[in-house]
Amino acid sequence: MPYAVPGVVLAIAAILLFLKPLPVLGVSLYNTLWIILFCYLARFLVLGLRPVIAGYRQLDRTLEEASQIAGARLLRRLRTVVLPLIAPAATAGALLIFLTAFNELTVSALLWSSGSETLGVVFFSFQQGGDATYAAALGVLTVGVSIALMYSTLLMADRLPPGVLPWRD
Amino acid sequence: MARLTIDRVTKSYGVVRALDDVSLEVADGELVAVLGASGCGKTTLLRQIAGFDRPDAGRILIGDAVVSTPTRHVPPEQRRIGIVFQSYALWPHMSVTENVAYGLAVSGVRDPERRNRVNAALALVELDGLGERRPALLSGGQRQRVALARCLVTEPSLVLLDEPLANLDVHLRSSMEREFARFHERTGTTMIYVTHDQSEAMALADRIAVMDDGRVRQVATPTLLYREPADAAVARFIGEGMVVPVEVRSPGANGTCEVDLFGYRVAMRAAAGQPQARAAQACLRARSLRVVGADVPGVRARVERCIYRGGHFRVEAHLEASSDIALHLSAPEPCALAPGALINVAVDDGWLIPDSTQG
Repeated sequence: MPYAVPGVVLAIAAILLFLKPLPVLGVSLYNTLWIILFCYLARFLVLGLRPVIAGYRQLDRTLEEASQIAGARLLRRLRTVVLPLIAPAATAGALLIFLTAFNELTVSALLWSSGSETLGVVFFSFQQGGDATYAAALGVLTVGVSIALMYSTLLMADRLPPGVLPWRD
Repeated sequence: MARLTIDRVTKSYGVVRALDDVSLEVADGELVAVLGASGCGKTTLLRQIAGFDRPDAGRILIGDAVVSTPTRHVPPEQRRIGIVFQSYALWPHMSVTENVAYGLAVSGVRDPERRNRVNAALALVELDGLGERRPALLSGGQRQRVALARCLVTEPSLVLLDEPLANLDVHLRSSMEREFARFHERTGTTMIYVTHDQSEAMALADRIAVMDDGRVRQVATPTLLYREPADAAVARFIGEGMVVPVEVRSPGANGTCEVDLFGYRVAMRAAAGQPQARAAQACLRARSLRVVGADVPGVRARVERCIYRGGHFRVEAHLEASSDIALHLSAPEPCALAPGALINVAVDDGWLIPDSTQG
């Protein structure tokens, strides 16, 4: 759902929510990096969780039960059986988030403050300020990073449950 | 090693009674097969024993310790039992050795001892040298043996086998069957073997518990189960028994009686001290039926079809007196019985079902 809401809407909602200091704690998130983190989580967590959930659904319940019978308690079961088995899916989720959040502009354009500019904002200001050359250089770098990461996800695609990578059938 | 006591356990899922007042005693070192068609509650029973599920009523004891009641519940990880799952449930991200060593690692057994015990377990299932492989690279039978080694390495007090041979092909099945038998002999572990395959159960088990519709119908040794089924359902299920209505004529002594099968007088085995109902049911086996000449006493039947079974024919027929009662028997080669022919069948042996009083 949050992913379907336009970034601008989410950003304005966050501004309205955090304009006043947080109750009880008395700290204000507004005008810090944390408000951007909050919005990124709200926006991208779904994208990252989907592969993890898909991976967990595909786990055979008996694998966990077998470890339970062997005497392992919940934490140990999670660590030795569940986590290693969903790790590829979780990594894919993390990469997906990274690829999308890397150059994100709409949310951070409204929320950035001096000292907490995101890459997207830096681009945008270079471009606005007439430094098209800087913007282009930065652009080439980010495109390079994105391509490298996408290629690495493709390499591990065979080990992922189907439906994790949106650009593959 | 331990006894297992299941005492009047009941479990319902919604309106379905998966287990209905199930009681079963398994002695120390015994191999008991739980036999039943799918959906009869045998897997539910296994999950109760393992502790994945708790009963609505009744209790389960392993040794002298109460592990399951509706209010008290020992979690599976503390029950010290082993399970061989139908799907084997080997952890795909671990090597064979790691799979087998897992239970020992969890209980804190350290390395030279752990390695020795893992190697011993792998040697016992004849998998030495394959320890570094991943389960995905093993054949079905090898995976099965890894699962067995994994379950036995911790020396559990009780081993539950959930249809362990259902996923193997026929050849492998009989060799694994032998392996299980040898295994049980060597380790002397108490085992519960859940299966829907009666030949498997007959071959392996000390005793068989037949389940149907959430209830235990009969618990007996394989021979007794075959010779003296307790009710009509067991008689039909085990060894394709035929259930026919009879009238008891004279209650003979020494476990026999004389019955009347549509006008044909036969002597049958019967339980001692059986209430003398006139109308009852009897269980017949194909091997005790013979096609005889028309001049000899027998019961008349009409042939439906003859199926060649290699070396002999299986003759399917129904009684002439009551066409909804089917008989089947084997006839030697050559067989000249055409469908529709009238035959005379002699009954050499039968069993008067004790629980068949029809009012």
